[in-house]
This record gives sequence, structure tokens and C-alpha cells, in this order.
Amino acid sequence: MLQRAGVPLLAGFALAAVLMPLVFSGSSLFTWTTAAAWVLFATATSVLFGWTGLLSFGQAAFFGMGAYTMALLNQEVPDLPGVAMLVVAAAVAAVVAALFATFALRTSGAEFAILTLVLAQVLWLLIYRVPWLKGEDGFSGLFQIKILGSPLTSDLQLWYYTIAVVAVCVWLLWLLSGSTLGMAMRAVRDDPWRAAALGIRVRGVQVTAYAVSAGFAAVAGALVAQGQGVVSPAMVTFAISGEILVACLIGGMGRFVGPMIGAVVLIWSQTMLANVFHDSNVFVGLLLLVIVIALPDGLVSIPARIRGRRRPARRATVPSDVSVEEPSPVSEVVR
Amino acid sequence: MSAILQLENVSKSYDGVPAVRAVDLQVADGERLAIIGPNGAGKSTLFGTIAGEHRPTTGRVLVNGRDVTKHRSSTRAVAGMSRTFQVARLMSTMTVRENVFLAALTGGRRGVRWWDTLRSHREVWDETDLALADAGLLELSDTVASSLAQGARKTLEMAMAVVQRPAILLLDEPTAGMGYEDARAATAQLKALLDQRRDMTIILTAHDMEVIHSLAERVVLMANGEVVLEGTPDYVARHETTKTLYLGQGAS
Repeated sequence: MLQRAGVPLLAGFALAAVLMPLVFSGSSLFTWTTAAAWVLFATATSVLFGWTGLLSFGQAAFFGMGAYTMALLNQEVPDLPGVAMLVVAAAVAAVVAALFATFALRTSGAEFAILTLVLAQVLWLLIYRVPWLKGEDGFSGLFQIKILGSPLTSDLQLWYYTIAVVAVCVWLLWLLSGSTLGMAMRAVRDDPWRAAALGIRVRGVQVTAYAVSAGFAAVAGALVAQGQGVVSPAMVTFAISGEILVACLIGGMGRFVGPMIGAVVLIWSQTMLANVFHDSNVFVGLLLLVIVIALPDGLVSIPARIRGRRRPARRATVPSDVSVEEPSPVSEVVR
Repeated sequence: MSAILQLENVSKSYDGVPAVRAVDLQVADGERLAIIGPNGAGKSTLFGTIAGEHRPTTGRVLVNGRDVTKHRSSTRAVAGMSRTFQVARLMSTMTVRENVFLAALTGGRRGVRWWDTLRSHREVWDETDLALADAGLLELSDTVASSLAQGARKTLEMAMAVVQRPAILLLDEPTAGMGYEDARAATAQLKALLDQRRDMTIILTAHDMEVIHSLAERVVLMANGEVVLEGTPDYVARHETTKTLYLGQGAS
């Protein structure tokens, strides 16, 4: 009951919110703030990639759209509360995503994945072509995020704000995963033909998943923008789209927390290794390689692996004659 | 009895190659119809046209007198059409119980709101457990569908189709891929299950004459995309045309 309502999840976020500042401060705490935003980004991406089974190479489009919407709002209506900006960013991305998906989903599989990449690249080009998006320079200068009327002024306040927003958003996605829509998404992933034959509108579910994923990815992008105070075309590059898929794969999408773990591992390994190696992505690539080979279901599968080793031969195979040969209890059950 | 399903001059061709040619068919409410024919006769295409997976090139499909030609399979499913596939299609990562639950939830024009939690549909879970008992699947409730054996997959898919309480039940080769013994047992089980639901109209395709004899009241024989013979199972089974077709056209 508590689990269904997402209480352990919220408790975990509350614990992290309190504990992190006790252990970390300054730039380390800031890395956790970035990681928190990526936790949301990864969970949003897994709605599409993990739950609905749609591969998108263009998640950066919505991450960036969130960041740029934030930057423009900050420039045009600086008095708008920070949370309201996040809501607008999410709405913009979700609407664009829904319109795009309505057309793009006439294709499927690899073709769809390529179209999502095209969308992200078009957005990236627009940033250079449209003057008010400021091209390579992007938007800079610390954003004054107003919460309850006063701006955030420290890393600690930024941390509390970010983790609170992420907790609420991830919790909403948790509720979604346990809803009929969440189940319909998994049905569409498992077998779209079967889902349609049951009466599920496959395209509608896919479009919804794409819009939800985009909306929450935009919130993540906006949070990163609010935190770093800089928005640049780098947020819309293919590298970002690739990295978020890597985070999902590292963590593993078999469980809800998988992509969240993957995001934390990704951000921290990038941050720590940036000081050691010139290009930390070499390490991330190696990590992914090791995980794909040794742990195809990601880091979340480690506990099951350990249990599995202790008790081998626990495969849920069923002898081929179980259901058919046994006489059916049909006649005994009066309906 | 009134016609629940009507095909009017239905044709379907792929890239100009006709698979179904000008088929007219009426199915009465509560009737049990088998569509048979050699491989390539157009059974599957016709079946897909009824289910809404293929849109006919020409002609109309009517359900209860209503033109549903342009309705997608999901729309037809909501309107009371359920089906099984030749090779069972299941939600492979879900358990047997979840598969049946989803079928029960989506069937029968319930008011499902997308934000409903799965737990809130208590009566659907109850219905699910009854259906699992009916189908003899209770012991496999928590087994993930991907690890089911072939026979159990077919049984599960049938349970999913029936729990939707469809007005029209479409069964595509219900014993395909089974051995002789399994096919006999499955046919008997199916007959028992269907005899409890005389309200359902059933349309099935089959190769197996025994399936047809025990489940169908009327048989339509197809060849080269056309209906060539129609009648009771006995009549069609004994007819020269059937023998010729099944032995191969060159044999006589």
C-alpha cells in the first residue's frame, strides 16, 4: 500500500535532501544538484525507452527546449516564480512532442529513432539561425530563481529546491507507472498487435508517452539551466541524447529506480574523471561496454544476480504439458 | 436471427496482387462459423479484414448494420470484437494474471480512466481470478508470459479473449502448432468453454477437420481468395470440391 503510493520513494528523496548537505558542500553539492536533475531526465527518458519501448535519439531536444524556455522566460518575465517557469517549460515541450509524435509515429522502430534525431538536430540548427536564441553564445548570467518571492542565493538553497522539484516529478512518474496508462504503455511495448486487439489505442498511448517523457525532460533541462545559470547549444547536442540513453542502460530499465541510479553514476563518473582524463566519455563508454556484456539488465540487476548465484536453476520454465493435458475445471465453476 | 457481421463485396490486394476477391458473407448473431481453405486461400487476410488489421481495398464491413470498414482494430475491440492469433500474442513481460487483468480491463466498454490505479479496479481483479480458474491457469498466475510453454500460451490468449466478453470472438487457428494429443485436449477444453457462452458469435479459421466438426455450425471454404463452398461441416467435408482442394488441384 505504502509502496504503491510511492512512500519509500519520497522518503528516499527526503533522506537524500537532508543527508547530502551534511556530507557534501560547495562544488560537490552542486554536482549532486546536477545529478538530481539528471535523475529526473533519466526517469523521463525511461517512460519512452523502457516502459513504452520507443527508442529516441533526440531526448536532448526536450531537455534543451526546457532550458531555452527557462532562459527566455527569465529574460522576458523575470518576476515569474521559478516553479511556474518549470511548468511552462514542461507544457511547451509536451505540446511540441505530441505534435511531432503524431506525425513521426507513422513510422516505427529505427525510422522513428532517426526522426527523433532529426528533430533534435533541427532545434540545434534553429538556435544558430534564429537571432533571439543567441546562437553559440547562448544565455548566461545567473538566473534569479524566485521561490516564494525571493531569489535563491546559495548552493544549499539550490539543492533543496532542485531535489524537491525532482522528488515531486519522479513521484508523479511513479504513480503513472502504477496506473492503467502505465500498464497500457508496457502492453504496447510488449506487443502492439496484441494491445490493439485488446482495444488499446496504440498510437495514442505512444504519443502520450512521448509527450510525458518530453515534458519531464524539459523540467530536468530547465532545472539544470536554473542551477548553472548558463544555457547553450551544448544542451541540445546529440551527446546529451546519447548520454541519457547510456544512463538508462547503465542503471537498467527493468526497475523503476534503474535509470535514476544510472544517472547518478553517469554524472559522478563524468565529474570525477574530468579532472583525471581529458575526455571522461572514454571511461563512460568503457563502463557501458562492461555493463552491456556482464550485466545486460544494468546495475539494478545486481541483487537478483547475487540471489540467483546462491540458488541456481531458478528459472520459471513450465513443463510443456501443464495446462493442456490437465482436465479443465470449466464444468466445476458455476458462473 | 439478425446478422451481427456482414461483409459486402470485400476485396483486398497487396501491391495489385489480389488476396481476397469480392467476398460476401453474413454471420448471424450467436452463429459459429469456420473459414477453411488451403494455404494461400485468403483466410488470414479475410480474418485480418474482419478484425480491422487490414483495410479492404474495396467493399464494406458491417457490425450490427454499422459500417466499421474504416475502424481500427482497437476501435473494433472496444466495440465488442476479441481475437486470438495463429501464434499466440501476449504481453511477454507481464505475468499470466496481469495479461488476463489487462484484457478484462480493456474489454467490455468499461469506463477506464487512464489515471486510475490498477488496485482500484478490484472487481476486475476478481473477474480475472475467475477467468484464470475457468481456463485452468490459476497455478500459473504469477508466471511471466514469456516463460510459458506453447500450449499454455494458447490457453492464456483464449482466456484473455473470452474474459473480454466479446460479442464476436475471432479464433485464428486455435490448435495451430500443437501436437495431435494436445490439439484434441485443447479442442475439448475450448468446446466446453464456448458452450458456456452461447451468446458469443464465433468465427474461426482452421485446418483441422476435427476442430471444425466440434466447434463450427457452418463452414465457408475459400480458394484463391474466393468463397467456393458453404454449408454444414459434414456437407463441406464430404464435398468433391473440398477433397480436390485439399489434395491439391492437380490431383484429380
